[in-house]
Amino acid sequence: MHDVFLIGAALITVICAVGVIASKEAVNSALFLTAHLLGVGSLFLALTHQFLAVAQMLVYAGAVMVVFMFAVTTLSPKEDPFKSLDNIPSMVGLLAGLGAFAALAFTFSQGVTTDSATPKEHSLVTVQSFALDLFGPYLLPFEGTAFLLLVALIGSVTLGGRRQPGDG
Amino acid sequence: MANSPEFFLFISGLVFSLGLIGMVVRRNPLVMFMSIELMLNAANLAFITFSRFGEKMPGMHGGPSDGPVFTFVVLIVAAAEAVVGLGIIITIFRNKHTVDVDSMSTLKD
Repeated sequence: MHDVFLIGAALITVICAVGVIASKEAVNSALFLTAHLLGVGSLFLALTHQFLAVAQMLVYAGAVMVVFMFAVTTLSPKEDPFKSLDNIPSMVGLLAGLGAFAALAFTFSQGVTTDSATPKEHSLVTVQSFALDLFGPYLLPFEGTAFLLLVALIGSVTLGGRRQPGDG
Repeated sequence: MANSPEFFLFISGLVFSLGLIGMVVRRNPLVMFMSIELMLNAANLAFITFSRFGEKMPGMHGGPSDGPVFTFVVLIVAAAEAVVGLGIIITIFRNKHTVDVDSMSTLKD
């Protein structure tokens, strides 16, 4: 049963990732990306991490995808993904991607197959334990993300705000 | 069978490669951004997998939150990057009325 759930979530994740890069309309890509993010969220849940599964669905599949949808509806771009494959640089890029996958698959198959690769004794990383770690030993990275969000906020206001004539 | 580190890392590598291909092949900046999100997600999945199955990372705290903290930071970086990047794309569209990346070569001319 657990395996069926895992393989189903993995299939959704991978197929929707293919859909993202192979869709003609950008809005289809965005919808595929949403489904992909939900698949990754369920994989996080299968890896026993509650908080990140929920955060993935709220932050990524919710907030970030709303921003993407806004941009897609504003720009409404169209492009045939297979037509852009007919030049040399794109073919090189395709080969580079396949080569990267071959290298990654080889490395992962070499490196992980040891006796230590068994699940640890903790069964479920609850929100409570993650919060205790986040506000305890990892307080500095947490505060760093707050600063990063402030910088992004200022940047988006600077980019999006209408300038009055004579503002310099 | 499926609940092994190889299974999750295989998915992670596959999604990362798909994101890389999309980033290089597609000429639409929105889809290129989505491909970047794919790659970030693949890295997140690898982090969580190693945190679940791997040994303690040197210099880290040693609890079950070592990998997830990285994922948390990547989540925030992705959100910030999406907001600023799409703002830049929309600003370019306002000025040039096109979103094809091949036509954005003003600095080259």
